Amino acid sequence: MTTDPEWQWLSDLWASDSEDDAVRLRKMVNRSRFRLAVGQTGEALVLAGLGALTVVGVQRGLTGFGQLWLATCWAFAIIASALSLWNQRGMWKPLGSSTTEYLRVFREHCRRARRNVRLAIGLYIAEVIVIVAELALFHRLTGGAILALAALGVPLGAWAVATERRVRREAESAAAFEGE
Amino acid sequence: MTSEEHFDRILREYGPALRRLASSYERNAAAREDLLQEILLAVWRALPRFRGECSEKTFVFRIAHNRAITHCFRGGCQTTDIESAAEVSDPRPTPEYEASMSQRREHLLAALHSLPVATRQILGLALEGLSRAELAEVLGITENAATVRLSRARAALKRQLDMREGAIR
Repeated sequence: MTTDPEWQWLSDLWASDSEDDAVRLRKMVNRSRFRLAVGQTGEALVLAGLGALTVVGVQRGLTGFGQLWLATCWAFAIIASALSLWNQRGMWKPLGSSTTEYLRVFREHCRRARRNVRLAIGLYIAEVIVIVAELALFHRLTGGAILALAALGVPLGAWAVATERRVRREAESAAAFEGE
Repeated sequence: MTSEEHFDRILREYGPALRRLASSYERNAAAREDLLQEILLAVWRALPRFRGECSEKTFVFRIAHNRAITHCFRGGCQTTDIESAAEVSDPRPTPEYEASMSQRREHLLAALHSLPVATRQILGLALEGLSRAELAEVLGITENAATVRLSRARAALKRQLDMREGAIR
């Protein structure tokens, strides 16, 4: 690539660190794959748990509030998944593309991550309204129930703030990188 | 050749380069291992989608560098002062060791770590022997732009190395 002896010397020096550690690298990949599989299994188990709960509930002949509660759980789970999929459409990160293209998608990814926070907060507010209405309808609306619903907002708020900060930091870093 | 055999060949062929690449971005040893692991997993996951639109080498380096810059955006890859970088990364400053290739590589790495991430990126690729056309292909810029950027990056690296006069030669 170059006839500059100094650069050639640096390239040779750089390449001299060529320890063949394919076996170690393969083990690293296998560890990552195992963790990935564990995560996917966990997600599947949560879904299976909700399914099992539904089956048990139906078999026991849930009536009135129980049915409504189960239907609400499923409805919001489906809405949350649909919103998440909608927000991620076309967002497959093209790691195999050029840096320029990757940065364009990364910026869009940051914008979608912010929108995801707003969607999650909107969904939480909708859930609270629906659940409060259901509880009121069945005369189960107590101070404890309202407190429990409000308490769910605390981790959500913390997550929203942390995500906003993280995404802003990442977007700033990406902009700085492009400006270098 | 199965996809696993293909990946094993990629590891044999590009493993050392990917390890060097991770070290050019990340100075901290533990974070460097994490970055390398992320890169390898990304390559493994992306490999089935490789359709030969570019060379395999370009494809692997694109994935690795894109994964590495994401790592940087998330707070890794701190740019460090060249002198402090060299001090910390050299735990065995014996006279014999001073003369070794390993010591010289440490100085080169220290110089790289003192440069902005985008500069490290193009230098890392060029040090791996990528041609200007390949650099342009990985970065998504024209060959002329790659030439200009590389020229600036090399000058910046030289300035950093000169600050450690005689360390690399």
